[in-house]
Amino acid sequence: MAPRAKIVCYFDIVSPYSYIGVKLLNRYKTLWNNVDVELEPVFLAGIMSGSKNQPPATVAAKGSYMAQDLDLVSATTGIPYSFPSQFPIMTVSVMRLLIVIKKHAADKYDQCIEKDEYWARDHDIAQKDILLAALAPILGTSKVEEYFQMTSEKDIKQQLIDNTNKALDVGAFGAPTFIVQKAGSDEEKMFFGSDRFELMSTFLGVPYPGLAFKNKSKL
Amino acid sequence: MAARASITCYYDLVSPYTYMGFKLFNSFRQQWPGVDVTFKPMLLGGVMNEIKNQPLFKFPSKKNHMIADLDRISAVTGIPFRFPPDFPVNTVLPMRVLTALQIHEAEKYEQCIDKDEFFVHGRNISDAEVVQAALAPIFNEDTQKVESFLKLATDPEIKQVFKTNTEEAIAKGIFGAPSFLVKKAGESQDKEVLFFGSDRFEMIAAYLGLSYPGLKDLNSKL
Repeated sequence: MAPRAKIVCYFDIVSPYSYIGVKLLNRYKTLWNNVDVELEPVFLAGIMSGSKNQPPATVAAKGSYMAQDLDLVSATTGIPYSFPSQFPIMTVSVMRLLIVIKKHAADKYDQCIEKDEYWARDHDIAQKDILLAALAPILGTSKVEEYFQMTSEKDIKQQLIDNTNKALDVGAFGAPTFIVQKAGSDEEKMFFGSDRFELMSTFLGVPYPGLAFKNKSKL
Repeated sequence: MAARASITCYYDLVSPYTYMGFKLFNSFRQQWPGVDVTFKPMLLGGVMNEIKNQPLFKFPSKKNHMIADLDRISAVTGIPFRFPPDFPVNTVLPMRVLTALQIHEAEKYEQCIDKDEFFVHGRNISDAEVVQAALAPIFNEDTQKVESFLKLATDPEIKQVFKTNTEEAIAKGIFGAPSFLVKKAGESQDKEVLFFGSDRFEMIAAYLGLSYPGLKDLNSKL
């Protein structure tokens, strides 16, 4: 089998650019047949403290720019978005739950990530009831409850820590962070942010369809 | 006639993404003839201090990514780039000289911004001699003329314009460089929208309803 290129996307749903970045990556990957794409949950606060970085919104001018930039990105890409009334929220249990789902319901993992609860519908997914209600239609009520129980397991907690440390090891300081490998190469290159897809495409030699590109999936 | 679309770029030569953004913008704007373009010198350090932002290079992981990222943009676009051995440098002198040039040598002003001294040749542009040598070829080696521009850097009027530009940038919500204030045709100046960074040209093009040529084929167009 021919070697394949690889993109690992480290994301935390607390980050609006992670939300946008995952949506765009899921669109573009439909065109990138020779690229394996993995979405790995991380704990962004852990990356921030590990790299001694600070979130953009701690500088007032950056915070207001970010809100306006995201509106324009949404208008350009058609990705639904409205800044939530509660921000930031504590997403650690959400990210742990996604790790459980990736492990035990891999075929439904992408669908669960694609939910717009927080970044389009202003649902506070840090609250267990809201989180479970969002995923129940995909996973079923009893399964979603069962998976949520598993978020307190040691292995699952450790997996989130491991993912976060792996991201820090390759030099991450925010989210979304992408670790990109060319086909047949072991060398890992880091790309940061939801605005680096054009560079990633040229790096991998795959087409860049632009921000307005929409594939024909259920997005 | 309806007012034209405009893009005002606030910049400081100390910033590597300003260097890259200036080159990219100059390439893209050739295909955007309906847009008025202005480059305003500002003191990035002044902006950073005032709004309590911190430069990228203070964070080792950000600095590493920044250099790798700039190298990749350079490889894709063919824009020459080499991270200078001394970084950052104090750019008050060259930025004040550019402020003077914008007023007194409007026609050659953009040519003076478009130099590779710092981010290709690694020359310390805080040094008056380096600035003079960089400008000399643009003014037919007229040393006296170039010296007069350097003297203007201490002129109270020029200092004030530079300071006003920087204050204006802060008032407009700018927190880094390069920053682009973009206005659609027919809209009033107070409807300007801020775009930050050298990676927002596709967004700017979409906002103004213009085509975005992309990074990939830039090489052949430079």
